Parts: sequence; structure tokens; C-alpha cells
Amino acid sequence: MSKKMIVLKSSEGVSFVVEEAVARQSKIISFLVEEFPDRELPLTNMTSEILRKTIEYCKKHVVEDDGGGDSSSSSSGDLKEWDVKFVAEIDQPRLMDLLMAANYLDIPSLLDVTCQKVADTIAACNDEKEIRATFNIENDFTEEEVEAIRMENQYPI
Amino acid sequence: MVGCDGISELPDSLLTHILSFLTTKDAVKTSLLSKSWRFRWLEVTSELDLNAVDFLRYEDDSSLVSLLNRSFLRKFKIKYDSSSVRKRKRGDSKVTNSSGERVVEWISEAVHRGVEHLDVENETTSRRAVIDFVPKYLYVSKTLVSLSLVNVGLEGPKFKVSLPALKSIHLDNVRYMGADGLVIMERIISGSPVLENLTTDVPAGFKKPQLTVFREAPCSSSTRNAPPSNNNILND
Repeated sequence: MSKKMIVLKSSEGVSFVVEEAVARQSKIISFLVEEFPDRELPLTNMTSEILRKTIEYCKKHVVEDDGGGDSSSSSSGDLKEWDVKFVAEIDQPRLMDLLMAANYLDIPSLLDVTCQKVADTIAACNDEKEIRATFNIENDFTEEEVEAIRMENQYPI
Repeated sequence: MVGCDGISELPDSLLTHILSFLTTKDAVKTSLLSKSWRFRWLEVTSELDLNAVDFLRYEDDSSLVSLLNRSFLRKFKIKYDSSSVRKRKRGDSKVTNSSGERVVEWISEAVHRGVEHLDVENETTSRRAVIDFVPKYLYVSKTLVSLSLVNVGLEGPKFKVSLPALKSIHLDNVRYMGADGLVIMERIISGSPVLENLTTDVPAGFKKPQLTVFREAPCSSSTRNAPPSNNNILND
């Protein structure tokens, strides 16, 4: 039996032909496929690069429930390891884009993996200055205000 | 989405989700980033994930109490090391509590505040460390949904165990007092009508592979089976 394919189109107009089972990990696409079968789905706010990454993730995570065929489901330990490597190879701006894409397409597991990576990056910073520098956050506090918050939080930071 | 390069451009819901992956200590740190980050961490304080060392440095518990007061406590996760000794000031005649005693007080407070998920881990590697017993009224918590205890003690309950919401128990290297470990465990199981999942090593005194007990609520009988030998990681 041949697999049903669907077409996703990036913001640059590049078409990606994907197995339906792969694309259906996105709850949004799953919904759209049912509403508009046999139609190309334009994802106008996703670049080809991010769409390619998202598809790569979905391909790895697809679980084939028909029991046959070339199932790519891996053991959960391997998959976790793969996830860690997957996000480790992505630079900061693209990680943010991928996180947004996971949110937009509603792919909870990809959202968690990307959020975890951002959280790990925050945790690895020594202080708030390093977090600001890493994430390009503008400091709109005065020194006094920072001290006041430190006192108020009473948490040993 | 195109060209989004800063974390601050993410919507609030996503930033809160990111904070939920941080320990409480790291989440608090973000209050110093900028005005828009100022109160964001408070949205995730229903889940406290603490390392006791950060609080044990202080003579009193005001910083922890302040954190608890600002929290709608659902989850309380605490790691500590019972063998760490607090410095005593010279001339201080008052007997200082051990770190374990203070942590037990905090756990009491968390249970008292209706915590749903309790996760306590004593990280000590010392075999001679004092065993800290979790507060007994844990046995009658109406709110507790999941309980994980590592390297602490459970005392035999002298009253009827009633854990109407408890679904999951994880016990690792738990020491028992007042009654046989299996008896205590049996009483916990019978007092937990909606229990779905229990993982534990065999109570001290037995040397068998890790024992896993599964019971499907509301089934009354429990089945026990020892998993394959590669699963007995909890055994020492």
C-alpha cells in the first residue's frame, strides 16, 4: 500500500512532500488535512530552513500504528539522545524559530524539547548579566532596582 | 516567526512554559533580567524545585517561608544531604537542628499546605547518616497525588492511612521503623484507593531483585512480579 503524501509549502514557496503520518504529529496539520484533503498547505510564516528541521524531527518521531512497513520508531532512550543532539546542533536564533514553529504547528514534544534547551541555557548562566547577554535582553532596571528585587525575593541568588 | 532572534519576542505563554523547566532557584534569577521578566517567575511557583543547601545556609527559614507564601503550592521537590553539618556559632548554647530536621519541617509545611506532588531526596552518601522520617500526617493527606521518597524513613502509622488522591508512589532505599517494611507498605496500599503505580525496592532485610507492584484501581487484588534482572538498579 502506498503511503498518502501531503505537500507543505514554506514562506519562500518551496514545497515539501511529506508522508501524512509524519505531518500529522502537528495537531494543526492533522486538522487541516481532514478539512482540506488533497490540498497543498501553505505555511507562510515558516522559512524553508525551519520547516525542513521540523519535518526532520517529525520523521524521527513518527510512530507507525499499522504495525507493518519500515517503521522508524526507535526506543525511547535512543530517541531522547537523538533529541538532545538535534537541539544541540541548532544555534540560538534558529532554536527560537523552531520553538515558535512547534508552538504554531502544535507539536507538544518538539515544543518541550526546545523549551528544555532554552531552560538549560538559562540554568547554565552564572548570573542575570550572562542571561541578558546570551538572549539579547535589554536591561531596563537601575542598579538600585536590581538590589531592591534581590532583597525582596529573599531567595539566595 | 520569521527573523525572531530574541527570547523576549516569544509570547508570555511560551516564556512561562520555559520557566517551568527551570529549578525554582534559576526561575527566580530571571526576575532580575528586565521589567517584563520581573514577575514572570511567580507564575510557575506552584511547582517548587529546591535544593536545601540554598536555604540551610540561613539561621531561620524566612526566605523559604516567603517563597511558600507566594506560592500556590502544588508540587514540592527538595533535595538535601543529611550528612552536611551546619556551622555553629561559638557561644551558641542552643542545640541547632540538623539539616534533616529542618527539611522535615519544610515537608510538614508543604503537606500542611495541601501539596499534590511531593518529591524528597536525601543525597547523602554516608552510610552512617541519620535517617530522617517524613511527617506522619503525610499518611492522611487528602491532596497528595504523587509521592517520591529516596533515602529517607517511613514510620509505621499508628492510625488509619487515608490517601484518597494518591495515584503514584516511588520509594527508593526507604528505611522503615515501628513496623515491618512490608506491613507499612501494605497499609499505605490499602489506604490508597486510586493508586495506579507503585515502584519500590524490597524493604530492608530482604535481598531480592527490585520488586515492582502494579495495581489497577479500583481492583482489590495486587499482583507482584519481579522484573528482569537488568531492572534492579535500585538495589545496592
